[in-house]
Amino acid sequence: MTTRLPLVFICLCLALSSLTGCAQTAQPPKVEKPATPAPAKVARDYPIFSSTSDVVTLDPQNMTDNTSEQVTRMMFNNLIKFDDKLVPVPDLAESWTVSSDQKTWTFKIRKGVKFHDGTPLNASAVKKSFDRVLDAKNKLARRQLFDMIKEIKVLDESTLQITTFDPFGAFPATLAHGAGAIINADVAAKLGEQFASNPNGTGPYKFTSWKKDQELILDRFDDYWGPKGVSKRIVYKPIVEAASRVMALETGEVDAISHIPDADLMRLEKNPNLVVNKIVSNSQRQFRFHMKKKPYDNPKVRQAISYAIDRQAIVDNLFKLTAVVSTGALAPVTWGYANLGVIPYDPAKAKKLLAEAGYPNGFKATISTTERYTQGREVAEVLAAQLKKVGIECKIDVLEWATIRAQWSGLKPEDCKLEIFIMGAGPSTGDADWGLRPIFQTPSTGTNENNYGFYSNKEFDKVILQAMQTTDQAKRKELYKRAQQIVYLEDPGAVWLYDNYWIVAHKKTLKDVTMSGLGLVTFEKAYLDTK
Amino acid sequence: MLRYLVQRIIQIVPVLLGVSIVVFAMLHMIPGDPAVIMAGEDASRETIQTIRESMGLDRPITVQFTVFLGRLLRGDLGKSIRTKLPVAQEITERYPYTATMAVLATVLASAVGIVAGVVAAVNRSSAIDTISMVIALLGVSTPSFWLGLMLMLVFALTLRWLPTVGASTPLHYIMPTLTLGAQSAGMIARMSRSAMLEVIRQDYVRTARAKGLSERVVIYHHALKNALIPIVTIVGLRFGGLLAGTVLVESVFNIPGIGRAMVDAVATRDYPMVQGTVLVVAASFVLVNTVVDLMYAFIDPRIRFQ
Repeated sequence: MTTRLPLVFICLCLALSSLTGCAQTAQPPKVEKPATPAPAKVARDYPIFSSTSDVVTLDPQNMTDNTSEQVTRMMFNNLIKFDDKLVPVPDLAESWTVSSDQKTWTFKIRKGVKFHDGTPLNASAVKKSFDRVLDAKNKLARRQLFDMIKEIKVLDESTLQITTFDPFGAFPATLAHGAGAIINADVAAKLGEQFASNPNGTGPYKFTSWKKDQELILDRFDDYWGPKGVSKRIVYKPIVEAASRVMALETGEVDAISHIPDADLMRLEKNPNLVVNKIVSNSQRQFRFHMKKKPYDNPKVRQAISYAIDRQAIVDNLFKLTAVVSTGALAPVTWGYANLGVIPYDPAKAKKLLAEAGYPNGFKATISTTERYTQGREVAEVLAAQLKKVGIECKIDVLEWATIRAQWSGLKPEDCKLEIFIMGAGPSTGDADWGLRPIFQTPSTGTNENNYGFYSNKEFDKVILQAMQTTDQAKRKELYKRAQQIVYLEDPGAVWLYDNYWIVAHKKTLKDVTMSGLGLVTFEKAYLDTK
Repeated sequence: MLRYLVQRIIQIVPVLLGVSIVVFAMLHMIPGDPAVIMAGEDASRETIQTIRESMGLDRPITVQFTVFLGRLLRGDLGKSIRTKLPVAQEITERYPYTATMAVLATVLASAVGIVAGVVAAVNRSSAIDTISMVIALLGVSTPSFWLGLMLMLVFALTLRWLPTVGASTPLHYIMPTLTLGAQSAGMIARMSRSAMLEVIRQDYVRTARAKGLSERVVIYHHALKNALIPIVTIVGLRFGGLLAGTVLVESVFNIPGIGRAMVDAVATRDYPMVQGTVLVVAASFVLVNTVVDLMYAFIDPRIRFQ
């Protein structure tokens, strides 16, 4: 045995060293990609941003996810855009007026704007862009967002007129939505489906290349009409696994990340080389009800459930660094938000309401949740524990996203199996109309593709319709306040729990990252301070 | 031998057909509609219907399956619902990453595992035997996810010797290979040890020693060669498994391989992508097993002449 030992060890060492040699000379598969520098050591002068999933499409008129919108925002302009306070301000439209019947909007189009391929922008190019999304034959996902548009007329080279079917107060906000981006319709027509991976717009950055699930590269558009991008290039790199993403930031391989797990946030906040930026977003976490199932059809039951929940405890224990208790049916950053206060934790009142509703001994309930929402399982567990104290015995169903999603895809009330279910919502137009109307207006079809819980309140419907059809913003605000009172307090459509922060961590040397309350992080002004 | 070869290859076809039917059936039985998932959260019924039609999802299931089979025979795996690119293209872009990792991991695991197993068997009941088997057990029981993250924490974050994520340079492959190799190495070591122990007790080993051959020749030439059949089996099985089961390592190290593509496709109900990836993975597995079967014939002359 002893004589063979050295031999065996030599064999082992040789095997291992030959394998490391093997690993180093192994050729990775030849795939075309632009050169990415080696990590950390080389000074890189452009920012790399990483989030949890890859971009789905670069066609703004067909995109429905946040990540795609973040990237496309840097490549396109809209007629109207949002400023930091989510107020609509001029972008490609220098100014606009609305007619006295509040149905016709006239836009003065900015001069001297070029598309990325050099084609100049004019009013008819803008018209073609809208025509594309409105054409049902193109089957674009965002067509419905603009179906209030009746007609678009080109008055002259720089004047465009859009007429809506009915007065629509939220029209500027709708135009500012990511899907309102003005695309180069001629290029889109030529490329067809390939436009989604080869976009052409007027924004400060233009598309260079996209290796799916690996990296997406944008380069500065030097003929941009507005303030030119500071960085020559911006790279987007999806890193699926949260822990890996955080480590990639800490080693310096990427410069900014989002979707940070709570456990890592504290460590990142203490890191002197990093900055953690928080902004209250438009996204709220809530639990909605199946309004047509007993006992949830009784507003007193829903109010009782609302009082039975200690929201501050949930935030303090689960989301200390990442959320704040809700104060209304919309987040403060959404236009039209009314501060209706935190609903107090009052189990005694809850029990009283339950007794009045005819359930003095409580009842059995099912809470459906999904882990796609951060700590969705844990929140449901806390809820169940709190509801138990007032006599409501809850069973918790943790469902996979696709499965729970199937329950609100146009089902009839009797087919929907949910009772109390988790939901995260935030209007992507930043406007109260989109945040309330599709969700709580009585559905004309009776099915739940938008109004997941089959909520129906006559006064709410009336108020919402009025608010939609007036362009007097002050009057709209009043109406939305009334609507929120109904759905938040009197006839609760949901129990609102907390408003999420949108959190981005980045290197101290990365300056001027733009964060909007809509949960968009963009880099058109950002640059790496390599001094 | 040729007949054996041909027989084994022909058997691949019904297996793959069976796999596609099962996958197709299961996908359509679970709740979840790809059009709904693609449409996003504030989508209307109209948007969803639009997406559904553009994907051909509104046709009856039997029609969808027939279309799928027809295309398959022409080498067309359809288009991914999520990315709208041909599934075949997505797979060819991703497969090399997984295959490279699987090969490297298997080579590493075999070298380390076989040597460790042989040494342990030869020095049975000694300290080296116990230590190597404990390490092997650790390798088998450590979750790959955890091991990957730990390696990343130590080598990438703390020591800065290696990059964290991605697959663009050879350096990027070191940690994933170690992570994937660990479990396989453990299993191969244990299997090698027991196979060797079986063989060492045989009479012909005693005879070889009696003939005066050096211990090294006895162990590696006579004993190991006879122990190879179960070892090759497990190496083949592990390799096949790695071709399919790299999803955790791919997620941790952000490698765009086929394991992740398959899991993501299931989560988004991207039917064509699921079918395509599962089919390719099943085919690889079957191929690897066929090769292993053929190797038996090569290693053991007795099988050749059956």
